[in-house]
Amino acid sequence: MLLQKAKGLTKKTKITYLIIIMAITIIAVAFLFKAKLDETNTSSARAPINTEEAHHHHDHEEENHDHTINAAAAPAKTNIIRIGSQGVESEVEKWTLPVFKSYVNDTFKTLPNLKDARGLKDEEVHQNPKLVMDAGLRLGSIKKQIKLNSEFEEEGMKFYDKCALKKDGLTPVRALCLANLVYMKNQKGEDFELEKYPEKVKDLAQKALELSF
Amino acid sequence: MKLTKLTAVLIALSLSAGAMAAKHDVNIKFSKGISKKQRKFMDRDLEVLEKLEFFRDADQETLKVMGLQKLNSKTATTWLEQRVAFVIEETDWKKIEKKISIEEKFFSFENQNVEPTIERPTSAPTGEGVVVMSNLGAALYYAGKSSRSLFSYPIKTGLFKKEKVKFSSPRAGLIMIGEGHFMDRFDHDQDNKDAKANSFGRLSTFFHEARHSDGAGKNLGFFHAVCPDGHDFQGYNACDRNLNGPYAVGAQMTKEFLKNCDDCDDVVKEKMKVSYLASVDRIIIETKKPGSSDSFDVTTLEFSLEMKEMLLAFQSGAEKEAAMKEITELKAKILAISESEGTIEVTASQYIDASPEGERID
Repeated sequence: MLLQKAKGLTKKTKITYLIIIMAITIIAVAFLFKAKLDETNTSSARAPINTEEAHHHHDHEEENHDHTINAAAAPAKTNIIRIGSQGVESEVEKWTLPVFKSYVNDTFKTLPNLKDARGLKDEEVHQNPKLVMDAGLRLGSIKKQIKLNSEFEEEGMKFYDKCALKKDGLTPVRALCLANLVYMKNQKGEDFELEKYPEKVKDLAQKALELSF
Repeated sequence: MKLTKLTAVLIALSLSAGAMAAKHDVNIKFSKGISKKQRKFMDRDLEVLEKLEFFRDADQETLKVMGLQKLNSKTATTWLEQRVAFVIEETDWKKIEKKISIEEKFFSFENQNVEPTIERPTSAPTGEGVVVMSNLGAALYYAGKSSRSLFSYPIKTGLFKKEKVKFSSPRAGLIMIGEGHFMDRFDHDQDNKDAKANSFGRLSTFFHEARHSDGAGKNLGFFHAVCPDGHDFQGYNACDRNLNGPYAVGAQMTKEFLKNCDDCDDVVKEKMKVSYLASVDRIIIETKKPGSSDSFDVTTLEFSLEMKEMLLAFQSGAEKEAAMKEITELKAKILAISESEGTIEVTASQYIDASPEGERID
């Protein structure tokens, strides 16, 4: 049928049809390929997170440290945890107290200091530098574990206090530590003296307390 | 002839199909030179912003800083569109200079004789860091204004499409993105590259840079100030001496994103919090200056300070570092004496008029 029809057409029209068919085929193949690619990306993003790769850099950073630090690095390898309205989604995420203590000690040692900050290149300082973001990641892991294990609270508060008082520490990090400490003390209904903390840390901690905890 | 027309239509159709791949309607044009990977992230970020439900009321402070009546996806994207027209790939300054054309000499600029306040860093080690994002539009507008010439810059936005941005206002809106903007290490959620929280981080930077497209006269471009002595980044040109500059915009947007991110876990939220605080900490609330004093101590210290500052130009390395430390200490001493004498002058930072000078021309 098609051949019969084609016989009656001029050469020019035949070429036109051929071009149309070819173009449609190319577009269709491109769309199908893109859809397949998107599907692959989405599924990999939604897969249970076993983040060997994501933590590769993290492991690398800590491989030269002593055994305590290596032990502390281990829990950071665990899957991410979501604390939803139904509570903890994965009990596997809980650390033991020695591991938590070790992680907290390691974190304190690796908190960025003023010397690190003032040695950065001007371009690195324009946006939040990596050392600030890294500290945020560690503070996040600590907070997550405290939420999961109420028996870590005392140890956690000790850490927050030390961190907020760290004279050569960076102000935003110290302020977030102080804000966490104030929040926890308030939750427990404990009295708390703020005099020993510098004004600039307290002022910024006040800003942090406006956020949800 | 008919055949040629048809082929052209088909090519145009297939090209527009490619252009329609972005799943958002934000009117910001991208240079063809941006890598597909980076473009994908930027499109995703704009899509996140466009579809974001700001289900919690915005802070009054956010509205004041941004100059908005209310904050929602529409007002936020419009705010961005007004300040960003084009995004280009990381380009060497020498190449940028070569591509700049003069559209019109003796162009009539608003506030022609008013110089913007540009503070010089006193202690930042200069050098090449990784480029995250920078507002070239404001810088090139200022450069053109200084030489009384209207500059333009060509941008390839399609296979056969070239556009020209004319710097008739800081609102010309030319933003350059670099590799740093997409680096895993800056992600809020390191377990899921496509997480909304990562878009939020990049969008906050985008909003920060967009603010540089504002301001007029001495406030043109909302250029950064030198962080004061005692600040974590003292001496770096990485603070703002106003309450609604780029750092305030970035901070407030981070705060709003944080408030509206219910699926962010504790680790991500803590990173966003530290990021928010780090931006807030760059806002200089007040500037202290020693007032005039007849005190012998102050006069002696001021003389010593002047000498050390003069010698700084001839020093380098450890010697310069030591001298800068002494300068910081001297300034602190002078301030302390002025404070005790009651002669100190304190200037509180203000919300400044963000209206831009000039108008964007196509």
